[in-house]
This record gives sequence, structure tokens and C-alpha cells, in this order.
Amino acid sequence: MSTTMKFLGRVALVVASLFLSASAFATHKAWVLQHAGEQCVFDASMPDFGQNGSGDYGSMFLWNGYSSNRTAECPLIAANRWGSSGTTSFGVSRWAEAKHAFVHVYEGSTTPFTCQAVARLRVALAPGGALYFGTARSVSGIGNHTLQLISNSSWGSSLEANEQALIRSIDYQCVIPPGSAIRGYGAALCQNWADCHDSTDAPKDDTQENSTYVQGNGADCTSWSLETARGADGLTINGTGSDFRARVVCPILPPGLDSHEHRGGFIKRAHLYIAGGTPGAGCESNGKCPNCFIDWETRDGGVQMSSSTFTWNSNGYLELPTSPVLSVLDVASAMSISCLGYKGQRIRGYTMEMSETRVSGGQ
Amino acid sequence: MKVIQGLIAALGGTMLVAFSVNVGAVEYNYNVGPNYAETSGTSCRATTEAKEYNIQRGTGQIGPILGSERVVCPINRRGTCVYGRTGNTQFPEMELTVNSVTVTLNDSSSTTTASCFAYADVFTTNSVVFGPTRFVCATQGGCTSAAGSYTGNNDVSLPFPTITNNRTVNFGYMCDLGRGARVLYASTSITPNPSN
Repeated sequence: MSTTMKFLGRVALVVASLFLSASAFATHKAWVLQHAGEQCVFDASMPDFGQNGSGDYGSMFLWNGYSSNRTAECPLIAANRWGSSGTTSFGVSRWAEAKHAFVHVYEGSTTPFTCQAVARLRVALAPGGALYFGTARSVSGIGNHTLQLISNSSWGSSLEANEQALIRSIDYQCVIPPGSAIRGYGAALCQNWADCHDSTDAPKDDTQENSTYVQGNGADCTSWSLETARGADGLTINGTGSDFRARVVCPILPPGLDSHEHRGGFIKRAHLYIAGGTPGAGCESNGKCPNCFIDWETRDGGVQMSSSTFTWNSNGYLELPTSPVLSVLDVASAMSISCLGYKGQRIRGYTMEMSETRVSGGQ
Repeated sequence: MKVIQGLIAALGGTMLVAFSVNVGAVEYNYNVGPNYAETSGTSCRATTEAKEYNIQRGTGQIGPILGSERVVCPINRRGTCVYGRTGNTQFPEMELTVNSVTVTLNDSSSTTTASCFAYADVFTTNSVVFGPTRFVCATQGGCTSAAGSYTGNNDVSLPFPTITNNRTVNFGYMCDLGRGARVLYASTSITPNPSN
């Protein structure tokens, strides 16, 4: 064969390998799953202090107002882990392989704030099975911190050794010092490649390009003050008291994000579905329906932000005024819908359109 | 969509390589589901704040401290559509198609029972629907009647109730737990809106 022929042959092989085996290339991409601290729950109640096991203050954070440490569980809501039908194609990965795992905390004392990932994995087929632990990690010093549960690409301990098994459940178990709070938490679960760490391993943010709808359950809301009932119809304010009001806070679970947390996001078409009371025009101002708004905290600055008030739509729901679109310029550590409601009123659930990060090209 | 088709033939009959590339094709199209929602039993809560006093959570589990207790476990699906889509159905933000709900329970007592059922708020009628109850027992998937002497871990598969008009903003499952019974975790398969 001539030199020209050999050269053409090599070119053909290189070109073919580039185009025909693209799906075989590794990806560093991950599904970022964020949660409000409100979705954490204390292990046990503190009735002598008036604190129970759920959202003690009707807050989007989980605060420990007690005088000693309290242990809480923060369940990872593992959903929206999509597969791809693009030129890089793969199915849904349901493993514990992760790029990052984080807990945003406020430390109000000098006691270390400690968290540890605890998972049930499908290592064996039998239901239930063993618990797998990551390494416990801590932060100290009064103020806001982000506690990273993955260090040097590793959960550590038995969880790292078994992370390719299917997730049955993952909790972050945290010991919250007095006067401290879990503000938010989350994980970036690998999409299609084990140990999906890239050379620039630090968490990245990205501005939005996509959007999707999100639906949340009324029964996921927590309350403070009047007694509430949680059930198949949502969360109902039904207690008795001197002023007949309760604060109800419903955590917003954003969609799974492609690889990065999200700056410059937006919320549109936020609808809160309610029952009870005597809703109508202006009801949010006269107590005939709940008075609600979206609030969130900026992850880096720790600044609490809030939207305008939901107003009654004659089609039968409360809605965030459609103009302007609610902009969430900085990455949020937590988001929620906060309401002041009255006895007999019920939160059924919410829907909204939320922006997403762009589909990034392999990183 | 612009298509480039190429053919490179290496002379001498030793190799022949053909390729076809869609330049407009995307590398990642996140439309492969279903949406699996997997959560710990710790995401369940008591039916009232007062009854939280009888609830104990631990590493990957929840159960009553004394006597029996009902827990409510909302199923959170996050986005209702595949990535970057806002749906092509009439109500993509709240239509729901559940393929399966499987809850794994532990029962450490031979004298008490543990059972669960699925529920949903029917959006259009402001009413609720419930699926049939399944008890944990020696049969994987559960039993339709109580097996009080059973101890151990097992799954219960919960039939999901029919929702009029297929729209809801509040759904999940509830479990009635005797003393010594625990919810460990649940896995739910949901078809996104649209499905691809």
C-alpha cells in the first residue's frame, strides 16, 4: 500500500471512532437535587420544650432552639434522574455514585455541626438490608457554612465501597448544635459514569436555559401554632386557639438540575391550591384565604428574599402575580411557600414552572 | 436538519468505513424515564403535630414509640415533565400516572401488624381516593389480610387508586404501624408528562 493509502486509512479509523463511539465516552455530568432544610426532621420530639418532630417553627429551615444537641434526619428525595436518548444515550442511573453532597448550615454555637450520609442500598436482593455509612464530617464557627459530605471523590467508609448499588434510601443524619439550623441540603448524583468527578471538581453554577413544571404536596407542608391535620387532602388548620391563625410552610422541591446549581433562575405560573375558608377577590388581605408568598435564602450571602403575595384567581386558586416573573438571581439554599392561614383553611398543593440549567456538553 | 453523509474508502480493499452524522442532533436529550422517586421512611410524618410525640425516627426508618400510629408519606416527584420540557398534555403540571408504588416495611413484633395504602387528592372534585390496604407478610408484595405473627423485612406493593381526570396536587401513601413496626423506604415509578 502506498503512503497515501495508509494515511487515508488512519484518517478513516480516527474519524469513524470519533463519530461512531461517542456514546462510549465518559461523562462527568450529574443530577443536582436540592432540598429545603424544612424537609429534615428531628429523630424525636421535645414535648417539654414545645418542640415536636416536624418543622418546629413553620420555617423553611430546621432550627434547633433547644439547649442541647438534637439529631435530625434529612431524606434525599431521589427523583428526576433522567436517562438520555441523544447521541450519548443511557438509561436512568439509580445508584449512589455522586459528585457532590452538601448541607448548608447555620452554626449558632461553638459546638461542631456534624452530618453523615446513611444509605440503604440494593447490595443484596432481600428487602431492607444493611445500612451503609459515609464518613461523618463537621464544620465549626458561628455563621453560615456548607458542609461537604464527599471529600476527595469519596463518601468514605462502607457507603463509598458500595456506591454503585441501587439507592433504596439515603438520609443525611445531622447533629444540630443549640441555636443552629439546617438551611438546605442536596446531592449531585452521577448520570452515567462512576465517580463522575472532573478535573475542576468544585461545584459550579450555571444560568438558566430550560424550564419545566414542578408539583408539590400539601401534606408535605409543616406548621407552627394552631393544630393541623395532615392527610390525603393536604394540610388543614383545625385547632383551637386565641387568635385562630397558623403559619404553614410548604417546601419547594426544584427539578433535578443538569450538573450545576442555578443562577439567574425564574418562577412562573406559581399556583397554590386551597380549600376551606371563603376565598374570593382580596381574600388574601382579609383572612378569608391564606396569605402566602414564596421565600428563599441565597446560598452564598445568606440573605432571605421574598416574593409578592399570592392573590386570588377567579378560576379557583391563589397565584403569584404573573408580572413580573419572579427572578431568583442567586443560587438558593432553600425555597418555600410561606402562608399565614386561619382555622378551617386547607393547603392542597402547588404547581409552578421553574427554570433549569442548560444541558451542558459533557461536564 | 442538516445531514452530512460521508464515505471514506481506504484503497487496497483492506478497509471500508462509512459514517453518517446528524450535525443538528443533540448529545444529551434527557427524555428517558420513568421518573423514579426513591425516599427514606424518614420523610413520613404523623397525621397531626400532637401525634409526632409518639414518633421515633432513626437511621433510615420511622415508627411509633408506644402503641400504634399512622404516618403520612407524601410522594415527591420534583419536575412533572422530562428535562427542559413543559409538556404537551393539557395539564402537564398536575397530571399523574403512577406505574408502581413499593414500600418496604420492618415488623419486629409477632403480635402487631404493619400495613399501607396509597392515596390521592382528586383535583377536579376536591375529594380523595384510596387504594386497597396491603399488610406486610412473608409474601413479597404483601397480603390482603393481616399476618400478625410475621416478623422481618418485606415489600408491600400498593395498587394506586384511579384519579378522576388524572389530576392531583397531593398524593402518597399512608401506613398504620403497630409497636415494633417501621417504614424503611419506598420506591415509586411515575410516567412524566409527556412520556418522552
